[in-house]
Amino acid sequence: MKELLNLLDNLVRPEQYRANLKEVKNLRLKAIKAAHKYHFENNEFYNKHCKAIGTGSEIDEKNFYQVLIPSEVFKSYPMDFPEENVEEFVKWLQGVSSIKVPAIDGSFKSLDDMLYEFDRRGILLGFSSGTSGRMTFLPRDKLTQNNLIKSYIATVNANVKLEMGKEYFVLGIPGKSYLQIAWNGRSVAEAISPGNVFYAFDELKADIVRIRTGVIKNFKEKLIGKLAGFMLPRIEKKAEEKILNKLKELKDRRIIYLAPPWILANVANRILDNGIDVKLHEDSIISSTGGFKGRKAIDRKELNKLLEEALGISSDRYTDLYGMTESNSIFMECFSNHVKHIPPWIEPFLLDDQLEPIEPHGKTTGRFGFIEPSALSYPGFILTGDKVTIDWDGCDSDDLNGPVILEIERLKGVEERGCAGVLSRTFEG
Amino acid sequence: MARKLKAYYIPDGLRDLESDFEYTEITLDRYIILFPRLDPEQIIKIAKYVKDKAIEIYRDTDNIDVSEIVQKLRDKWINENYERFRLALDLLPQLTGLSKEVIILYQFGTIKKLTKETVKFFKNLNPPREVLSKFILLDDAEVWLRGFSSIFNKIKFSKAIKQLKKPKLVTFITPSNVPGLIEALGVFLALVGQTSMIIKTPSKQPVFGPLFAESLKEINRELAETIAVLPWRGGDETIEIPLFRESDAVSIVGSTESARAVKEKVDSLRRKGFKVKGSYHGGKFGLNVISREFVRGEVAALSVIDGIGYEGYMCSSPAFGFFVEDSGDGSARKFAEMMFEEAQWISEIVPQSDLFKRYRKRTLSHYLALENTGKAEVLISEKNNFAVVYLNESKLIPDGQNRLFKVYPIKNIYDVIKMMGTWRDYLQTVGVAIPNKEMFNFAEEAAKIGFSNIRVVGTVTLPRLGESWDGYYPLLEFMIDGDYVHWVTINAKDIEEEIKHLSSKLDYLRKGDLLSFG
Repeated sequence: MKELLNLLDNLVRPEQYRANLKEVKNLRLKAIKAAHKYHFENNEFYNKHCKAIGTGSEIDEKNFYQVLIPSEVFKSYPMDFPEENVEEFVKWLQGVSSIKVPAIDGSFKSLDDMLYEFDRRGILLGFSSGTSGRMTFLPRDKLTQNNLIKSYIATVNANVKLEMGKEYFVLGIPGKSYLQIAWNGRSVAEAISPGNVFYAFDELKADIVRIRTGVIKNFKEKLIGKLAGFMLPRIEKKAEEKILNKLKELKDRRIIYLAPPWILANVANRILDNGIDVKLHEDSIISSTGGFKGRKAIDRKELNKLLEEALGISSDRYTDLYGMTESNSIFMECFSNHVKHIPPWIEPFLLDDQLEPIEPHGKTTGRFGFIEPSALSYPGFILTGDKVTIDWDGCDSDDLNGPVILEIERLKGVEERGCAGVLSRTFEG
Repeated sequence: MARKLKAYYIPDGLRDLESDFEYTEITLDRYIILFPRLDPEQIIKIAKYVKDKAIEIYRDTDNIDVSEIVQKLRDKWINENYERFRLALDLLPQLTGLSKEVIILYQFGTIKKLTKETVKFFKNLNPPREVLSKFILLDDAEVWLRGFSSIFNKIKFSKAIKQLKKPKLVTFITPSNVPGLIEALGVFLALVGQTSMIIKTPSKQPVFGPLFAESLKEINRELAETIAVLPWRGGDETIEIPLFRESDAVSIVGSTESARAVKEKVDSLRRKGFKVKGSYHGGKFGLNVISREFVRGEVAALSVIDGIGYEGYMCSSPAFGFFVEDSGDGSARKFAEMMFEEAQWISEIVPQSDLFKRYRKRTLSHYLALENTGKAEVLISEKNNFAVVYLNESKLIPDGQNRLFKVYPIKNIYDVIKMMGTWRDYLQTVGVAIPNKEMFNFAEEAAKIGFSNIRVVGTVTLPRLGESWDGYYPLLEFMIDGDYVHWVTINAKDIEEEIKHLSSKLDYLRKGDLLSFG
């Protein structure tokens, strides 16, 4: 473990984006091998998963792709409502975790109460949900939480010089929620500039997310669902108004403004429709993540134009992010070429429809998998349901090294999901 | 030098048309496969030609003994020295990912059962009236048949059966999950039904259909003029609309989405006045039910054979799993262990390719993650050839493919029928190891919920002529405009005897004689 932590400490740094590729790769491979050994020895599920395909505690680079875990595993718990049978849920969670999960039993009135109890005992159970309403839960202890924050900050720092403690964040996400995207946004922003963070939404409860996907327990929840269907679109409108007011207040100041893309577009349209003067400082950063997920999509060029006209800064300052609940890192678009650089501490894979690895040369498309050695509380060896195009030759518009992601879409037949999808479905009218 | 192979077959009388074809070539190992790019005029010309030929040839049916031709065709395709057999065995594993042994055991094993005896009953497709009130035995096919229908539909059916109209042209669209078998079935049905047929090959595997049609030409050049086997992109309206207009029936065997897309086209043509009948065989899932009396090694071996068939991707495959009667004495758990034991040797004889091992890994992770809760127990073979998962709570999840054999306990064989409600549109086959005394009652109950095929354990992925298909009856479905009856068959005269018979044949399999099983 100590060796792994040392390796990670050297690996997850902004300067690795510009370091010698071969050296970074060596470091990354060492970290991955150490992470594999650690999870093999500490994670019951991962141990069996590896043994089932004939892999032991040592692993060779050529076999990395074979141990990838389908992301569905993190929603394979055997009940529909974990809060009603926590003891059994804990058993499942313990099986897929590489850390000791606290013994919690009995039942909770709500899913949020259960998540809060885990949080109180040091385990963040960040969730996301697909269209089926079944939630993905990833267990993160304090160490893995800190690794996530460190990884995010390292990526942002590699792209833009952050002034720690002086940045101001305007976030179009809930301030209080166990939805992973919300937790990530809040934790990273608060780590960069404690107290300088504005949230457009107050709270998003996990139970409401579930109810809004149509998975309901009883008549009371049916009524709550109906009421939420009436209220939440109004809350979203209100949040947009709050963002607008905040932007007016922060006019001419450098800010980091992050929201799902449809909120960025709605706020920009309001500014233009009402002729409001909200010109941001030219160094500000606008950021989105997760795509439009069921909302009316706006072409990137059109969105760029809209943001430029409304906020008065170059669309070059707009960066889209790609993240996953299962990942401890964010894939950020560079400002010079707007392609998503794969963090140097992540090993990416593209698999064909026969689940064979596609040679990493030129531009290729396939099912995306990745290894994230900084996830210590669960094995970050993940096979996603995303179809991704990677340019393995990287981006020559800046000095950031490594392959870049050009396109992301959901694989056919795989459930539409993601945190942005949760926000979209939950607040949609 | 690479050998050129045609991904199509057209009758000799259309050779001049062939010279106008433009081709796309695909290289596969030592072969170059030629795909013609058809245009609407060409497809119409082919359709009209085979249709006219069928009318001409079948005008005087007394001169043609179709059952002899069927027998000869079958004999060719179970002869391991037959050149086309060898060619198919070289190509199909590459195209489908299935092992050679899976193809021999299941595809050629099914063709083997298409004997001249099994087609005789098709001569008289007018079953006795009582078939709508009880199971009757079709002696030649050794199949019990029963039709389920409302009173209103019984009247309609009685009227329709008296006015059967032989189709002149059937378009037969085949799937990729069951390589070759459905194309072969198409040729057999065309011969037995004395109709012309255009068979669309699956895009993944376009070679078997043409090879099979060429065999027919070797046996009877005249009849080979009534069939064409062609590739086109599924859903291509420029081909499908003109072809469907020329057809009396369109049959699709494929995914639910493909079947729905074809149905939309057929419905649209029918609204415009075209008298084309649609037969839709979309995606289905199956399961096996084992009575406590049959918790024994041979039945476990036969269950494994069902699970291995086409790696679990046939409509009849027990993708939901194996449901074993258990009165709390651990019979189901024991049966899981027996399946594990039997699967060891069967997987050596009928190996699995790496492709399907990789696919299994994806699903297996889900069950490995459940083990800690005590709800699942996963038994993995040392050589990673298969996995048996024992689950102590019955659930219907159709993920038991790729040799992931799921075993569930049930209190009573009828419990599974009660569970099926939400899946009723996707049901086809129940594999059974139940006592004879339960046979008709169980079949009746299964039929009511939507099943159409009751097959003895060990034969679930080995269908044969005489059986119903998704509730339709082969050939009859092309001849009657409305589907008034839900047809259900039991594929054995005597289930207990059949299990004994199949158990005795396991020895052939042990010796590697794949074609002698079943």
